[in-house]
Amino acid sequence: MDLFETNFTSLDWCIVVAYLVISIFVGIWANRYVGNIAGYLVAGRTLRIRLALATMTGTEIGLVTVMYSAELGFTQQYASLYLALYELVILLFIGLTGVVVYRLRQSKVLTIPEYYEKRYSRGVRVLGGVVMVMSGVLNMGLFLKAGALFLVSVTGFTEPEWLQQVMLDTFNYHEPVGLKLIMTALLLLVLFYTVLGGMISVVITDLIQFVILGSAMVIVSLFVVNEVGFDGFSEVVTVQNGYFDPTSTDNPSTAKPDDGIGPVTLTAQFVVLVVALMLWPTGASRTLAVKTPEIARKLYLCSTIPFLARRSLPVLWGIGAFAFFHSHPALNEQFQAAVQAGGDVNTQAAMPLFLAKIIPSGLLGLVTAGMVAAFMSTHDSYLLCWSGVITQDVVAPLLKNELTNKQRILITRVAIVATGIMLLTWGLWYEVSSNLWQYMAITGTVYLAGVFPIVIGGLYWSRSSSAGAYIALLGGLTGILGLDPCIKFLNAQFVAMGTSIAVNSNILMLMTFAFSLLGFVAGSLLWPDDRPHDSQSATAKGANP
Amino acid sequence: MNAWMTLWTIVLAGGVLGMVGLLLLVTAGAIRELKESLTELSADVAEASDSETASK
Repeated sequence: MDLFETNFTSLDWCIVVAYLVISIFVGIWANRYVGNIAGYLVAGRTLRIRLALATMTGTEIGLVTVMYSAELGFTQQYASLYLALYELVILLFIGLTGVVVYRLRQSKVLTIPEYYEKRYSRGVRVLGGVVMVMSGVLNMGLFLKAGALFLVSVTGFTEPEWLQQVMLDTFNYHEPVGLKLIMTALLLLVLFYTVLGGMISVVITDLIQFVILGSAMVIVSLFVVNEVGFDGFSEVVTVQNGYFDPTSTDNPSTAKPDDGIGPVTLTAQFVVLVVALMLWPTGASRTLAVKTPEIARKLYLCSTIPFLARRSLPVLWGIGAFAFFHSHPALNEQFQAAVQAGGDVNTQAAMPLFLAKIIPSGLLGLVTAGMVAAFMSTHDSYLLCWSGVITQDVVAPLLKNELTNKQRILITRVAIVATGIMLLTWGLWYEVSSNLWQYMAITGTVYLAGVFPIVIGGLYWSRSSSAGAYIALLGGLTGILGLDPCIKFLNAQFVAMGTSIAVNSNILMLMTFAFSLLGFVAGSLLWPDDRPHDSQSATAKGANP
Repeated sequence: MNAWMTLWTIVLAGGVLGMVGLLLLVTAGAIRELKESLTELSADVAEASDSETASK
């Protein structure tokens, strides 16, 4: 069996293309419902619980989620399920208590930076908007690459010889361009219908995607269990030295010592997930789009199920891929050689390469359409969210809110295209050496470390001040140091200084959170705002309907 | 099978069964709610175009 052998045929391509055509049609059709900026950004706040839940599931089960969860399943096996457990517990807590989300929806703001202005000042809003967009765009910087890698692996796509020749003759370019072309095509497709329809087209397509994707996930899981068998899953631990205890720092499935999870990673990931589940802008935008604060709370409670599914099912596929490759030593050798060689194959490719061999043609097309759906549903929501922040929280406040609805929609559309171009550039350039989830957690920390004290303090602590908020936002920027190139640089400096200190991304993430929190408290106590502020009043009066 | 593996089996089974349940319980209601939301948005668009015409 060859590593790139696949069951994907012309029939599967037809299914995927038919799905994409329907998505474009929906984008054009939804445009008729865009009347004002609230309609464009939060679907006029008309979402009720079931629709909100379906669309939130569509957004949060992205292809990138599937890819990083499956990658963790492949590299850390059962132990990686601690993230699913964390999300379950945290969402249950938020859903039962309504902590933060209830008051946030009560404030009737459109975006989190808008809350910054209401509670603190316009300057905090603009800086908060800039930090949020920076973190968000960096965070989704590898979405395109992960999506394209899935498609290339599952379809067995190889670029035609004539294309290689054209690239060589015209640009003197020797590298393969297939992955890059697929990335560009996917981006253009998402840009097209997000620009046209805004949140309304996002909601409609998310609903379609929820049905296709949800069904695809269940079907794939059944095939994986059928292929590997219950004995096979058990042998992952008993025979293949699989990793199952996340408190241990040693991953027994690898030869490298201390490359497991352990207490520091467990702590850092818990902090990141608590804040991300409450305040990650795309999730928060769904909270702000529902009809009432009570629905916002219920939405979190109901989200426990899809969030559990989005983490656990792809991990199951990743563990299945681990068991499959280990029971086919020749294939495993080919895969390890391809990973070592660099290029476009890395540990993320294990799951799609595995699925391409076990899912029959026809069904593979449906599953791929589901995954493309997952890719687009996340991409459209994220693009809309970041561009909405650029319009509402950076450009509009700087122009003293003298923009008409039409101008705001136009700026948002331009921002969507500009963000898309940045994503493509970053995705083509940046090489991630850690796992994909770690990259997401680090880039997310840039925003999360600041927003946590600012929003919680704003909602529950009357002495919170603008000075504290500025310090917290700037403190969050230190999270960038957790990226691979920065860590390598820092550790090289420590070695050059002759110290035995070595940092890793989890330590830097925890330090960023601590720095922002302490800075916020100290800044608020040392430089209180001139005007007295009641944290409750900021939630009760709203500028937006 | 130790306690960790029992826990992970519950998490995995919960994920599969949860997704099946979600698809069965939410889909029909969500489609109905989408129709209601689109009706409300249509009214908003009509209102917005009326006010634009009046202001001209």
